[in-house]
Amino acid sequence: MVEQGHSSFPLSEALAMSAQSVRLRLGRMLIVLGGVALAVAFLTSLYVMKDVLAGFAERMGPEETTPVVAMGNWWMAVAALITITGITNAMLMSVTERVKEIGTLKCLGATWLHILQIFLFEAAFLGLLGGVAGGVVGTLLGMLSATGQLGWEMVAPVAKNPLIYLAGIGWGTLASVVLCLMSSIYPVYYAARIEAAEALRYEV
Amino acid sequence: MAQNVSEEQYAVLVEGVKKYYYMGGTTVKASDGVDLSIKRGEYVSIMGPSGSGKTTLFNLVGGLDKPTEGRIFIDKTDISKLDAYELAWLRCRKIGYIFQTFNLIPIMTAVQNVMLPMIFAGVPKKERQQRGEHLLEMVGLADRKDHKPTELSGGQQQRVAIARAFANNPAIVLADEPTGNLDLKTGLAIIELMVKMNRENGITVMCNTHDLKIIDASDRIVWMRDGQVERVEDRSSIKLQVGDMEDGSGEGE
Ligand SMILES: Nc1ncnc2c1ncn2[C@@H]1O[C@H](COP(=O)(O)OP(=O)(O)OP(=O)(O)O)[C@@H](O)[C@H]1O
Ligand SMILES: [Mg+2]
Repeated sequence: MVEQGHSSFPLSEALAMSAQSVRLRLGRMLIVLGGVALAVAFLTSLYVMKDVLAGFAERMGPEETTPVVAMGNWWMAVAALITITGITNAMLMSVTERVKEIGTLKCLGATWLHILQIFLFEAAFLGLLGGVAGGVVGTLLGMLSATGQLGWEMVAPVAKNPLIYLAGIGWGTLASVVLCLMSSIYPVYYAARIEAAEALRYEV
Repeated sequence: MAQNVSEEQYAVLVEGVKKYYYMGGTTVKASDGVDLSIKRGEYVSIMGPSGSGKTTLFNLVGGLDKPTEGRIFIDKTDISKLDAYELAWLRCRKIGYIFQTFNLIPIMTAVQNVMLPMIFAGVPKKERQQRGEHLLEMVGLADRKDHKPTELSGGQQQRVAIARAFANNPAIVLADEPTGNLDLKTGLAIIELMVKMNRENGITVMCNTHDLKIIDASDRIVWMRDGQVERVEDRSSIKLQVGDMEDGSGEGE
């Protein structure tokens, strides 16, 4: 009987590899990253505005705030959809660019699960980076536009509370990571399924 | 699952292997009944015109493609019986691959590339590092260990790829035209290195090549034509047959 085991690729290694990949490909990922950041900034600003408005709901009456909040939700859904399409497209391009690399990894012992790990981590990193940047910008934009609509006197008490910034940035980052992971479902599935022999024949 | 074969001394056994591609009514017989046995420690060169089925054989023996018919044993394991996870393990532990286009992972340094198969094999980090550096030393690139592939010449990249292929002490190292993208002199050095790695480590090598200079170094040469083994030459008889070498050129190259 011949010894038989399974090849391994610990999570820590996959994390390290993905981090290295994102770090070294940052230049080429900048456009995608910019897109993610922009979309997240937009989403976050809407979220923060809603947050601020919610604080005034009682004083202003629901007739005034409800339509604004509903409108905000609608915009957020549309923006999220556009973002998902954009990131999916960018991730698919990244995968096709790296078909040969995936084939090589499979020759070295990678299973579809290992490929999945690597690409999911990359998506998560992308989401994290774009999310923090977009979250910061978006929170500030949200405060600005709330001030524009309600006047500084009304917004000032809210603006002086650091919690709203933390909530905005945190929400933006989380939304970004979730969006990136959702966008990567199809590209990652595609990458993981690539057959080694097919991939090696592939010429970029 | 795994099945024993009486012949202990074989690293690779290929039995009646066929690989057919069906393309809109026509059948392409990329492999058309190949029988081949490669002994442990042997250096076998596969030669033949373009389209004769060398890469197909590389893919089949390497567990990258499944044959239409026939069986392939690597180190006594019938690889057609393995599931995807067992195949991954076989590729990792039993087979080393060398490609015409080097195929190093672009974001990784030379030593990281060499260590990669050892990660999949579960070798502890410290040992990985030591062995990686040792292997790079063996291929003459100790001073380039922290360089990225883009910072290396083609010949140097192929040296890294060779070190990577030998990393897990595989049962066999497969090479598909490893000198195809290199100039004559660099290619010769690569072949010499592969022979050296074969002799010093006792690791079996099967190398597809157009390079006639490899003839002296090979233990055996397998000539392919139209998906079949046309003839096999031992080292002793090779020198007598120099006249036949000219038919190494192929249709539509
Ligand atoms: N995926 C495929 N689909 C269809 N036909 C294929 C496929 N792969 C190979 N073939 C065919 O099988 C035959 C053998 O191809 P193979 O690549 O093994 O030749 P080779 O000996 O490696 O040639 P070369 O020296 O040019 O690399 C060729 O006729 C080729 O067209
Ligand atoms: Mg070929």
